[in-house]
Formats: sequence, structure tokens, C-alpha cells
Amino acid sequence: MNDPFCGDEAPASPEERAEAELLRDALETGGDAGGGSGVATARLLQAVSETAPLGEVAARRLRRDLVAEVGRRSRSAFVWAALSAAAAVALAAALVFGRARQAPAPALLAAREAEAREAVARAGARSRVAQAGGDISSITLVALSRTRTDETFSTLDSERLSRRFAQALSGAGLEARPFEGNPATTPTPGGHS
Amino acid sequence: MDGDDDERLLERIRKGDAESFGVLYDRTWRWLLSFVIVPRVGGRDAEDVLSETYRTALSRIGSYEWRGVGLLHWLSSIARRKALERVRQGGREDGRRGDPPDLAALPDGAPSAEAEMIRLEALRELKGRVAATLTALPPRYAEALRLRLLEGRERAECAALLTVSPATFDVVLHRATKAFEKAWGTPR
Repeated sequence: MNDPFCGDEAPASPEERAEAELLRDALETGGDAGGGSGVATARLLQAVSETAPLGEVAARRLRRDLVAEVGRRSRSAFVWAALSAAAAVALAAALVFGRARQAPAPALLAAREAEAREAVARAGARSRVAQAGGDISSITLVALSRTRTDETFSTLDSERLSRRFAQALSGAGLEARPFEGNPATTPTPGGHS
Repeated sequence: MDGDDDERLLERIRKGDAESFGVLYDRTWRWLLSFVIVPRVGGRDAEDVLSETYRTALSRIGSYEWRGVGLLHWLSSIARRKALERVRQGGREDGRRGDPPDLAALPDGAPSAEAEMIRLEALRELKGRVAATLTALPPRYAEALRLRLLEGRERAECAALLTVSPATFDVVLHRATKAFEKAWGTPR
């Protein structure tokens, strides 16, 4: 192709050709490409151009994507909030009911203590009989009876401790309430729950 | 319309109103593109930078502290940063030239609802000045600038219309930008 340079359009020097290629690269690939102020002028003209770099279709697509993303984030936040609230309720319920389960009524403790004393008395009597008689079945029966008595006392100690703990909580303004249907609030034969 | 409008818009977005974020986008994307992003990265990467700008804004909007300045100022600062990141990522930054200014300055406290009105006014003035500058150039230079940069035609097509080789068109366009810069007067 013939290049009709005319007037002041003299042939380009190697330096000028190099700068022209930098400007070409900047326009082809984006960015500055080291093109200096020629690039700044090109960007100014592109910015005021009628041909917007982002068409209306692309702009609407980006808008739709962004709005959908806000919606997703919002829903995620809602689910997290709901889960957190449910977890808080479950934790509170566990604390309240758990504490109530550890605090048997004073009347129940007194009844169990009386039963335990009777059991101790019975075990003592059997022990004396077994030592006098000496047969193996009586000795085994006495051993079993003692084990059961020890368990009863152990349970009583544990419940007494729980009750003191509940009283301490009460003193701190955290009242422990008995739990309806809790087996610990219902006297059971033999003092076992 | 006043600055409180932006504050209310911000509140609705924070409460998860997705459409309010769409409203903010509608009010601001043209400004960001014309006056902040394209002057820095050109048209090719503009869409990516615009998308990154809004996604960054979305991720930070929960911690954004309202100071009555207007959301467009905040979005513009994000867009400037994203555009410069894009230029640096490509290793295409010209060390001789720092961060160029925005093509138009937004008045302090201008709400985002007024952005498009201000943009159109600023664009009208810029176009008038560009047209006046082009008339002062040799017709061949003005034509090269108009075809390649204002009309966005491909390099080969521009060369064909000017009946030169693409390599010669590169030189003509380079000379045209220099001539435009001289005629424009004040440094940008």
C-alpha cells in the first residue's frame, strides 16, 4: 500500500516508530505500555467517546449479578442469625434444666437419709448373724447389702453437694427451679433413682 | 435530594436490600467508567475493573463509616485503586507518569443521585473542548483520532480508511496525539 505522507508528515525516525508501537500496544492490550502522554490523550478521547467501553447489555448483566450477590449474602446472614439464636436458646435451656436436675427437694433428701439409716441397721444385724452362723450364703448377702448401703450414702453425699451448690446459686440471684417430671424429685423405693 | 439520601441508601443496603445496591450501581457506574476507570486503563479492561470495584465495595460496605461525603467519593477511591492495580498487574505502568487525575471532579458532598446529572454536564463541556481542539489540528490527524479513539474502530480499518499501512497509521496516530496534546494546552 502506498503511504501518502504529505505536508509536515515526514518519514518517522526509529525512536518515533518505537513510541508509535508503544501507543499501539497500549490501545490493543490496555494499560499504559510505557506510552507516556500519548496514551493519556488517547484515554481522554476514549473516555469522552460515544462508544462506551461497557455496553448497556453488559452493564445490565453486571447489575443483575451484583444484586443477586447481595441477595445471597443477605440470606446467608439471615440463616446464620437464625442458627445462632437457636443455639443460644438450646444452651439456655440446657443450663436451666440441667441445674434443676442437680437440685433435689429437701424433703426427698430427708426421706432417703432415713431409708439409708434403716439399711445400715439391717446390714449390721445381718453381719452379726453371719458372723455367728458362718455360712457362705449369709456372708455374701451381707457383702451385697453393704455395697448397696455404700452406694446409697454415696448418692446422698452427691445430692447434698448439689443442693448446697443450688443454694449458693440462689444466693447469687440465680434460682434453681425443680424440673417437673425429673426422676430425682420422685421418691423411689430403696433410695435409688 | 441531599446527602442524607446516600445515608438512607447505605442503611437499606446494610439491611440486605439487594435492590438498593442496584440503585447505587445505576447512579454511579457511568461516572466511574467515564471519569475514573477508562482514563487509567482504557476500554479493554474497563468492565473487569468496574466489576471488581463494586464487588470490593460490597464486601466492605458493612464496615464503611458514613461521614457525609457521599457514596460516589468512596466508590471512586476504590475504582482508582483497582484501576492502578490492573495497570501494575500487567507491568504496563509508565514510571514517568503518576496516577492521572479523574477527568472530572465531583463536588464535595454531592449525593450519588446527582452523579449522572453532573457527569452529563462535565461530559458536554469535555466534548466541546475536544471538538474545538480537533478543529485546530491538521485534518488527517483529527481524522485518525476520531476514527480510532472516538469511534473505536479497529486499527486495520482506520489504516484502510486513511489509505496507509497499519504501521504507518500507528505513526500518524502517535503524531496526532502529540499534536492534540499541544493544542489542548493545559497539562492533564
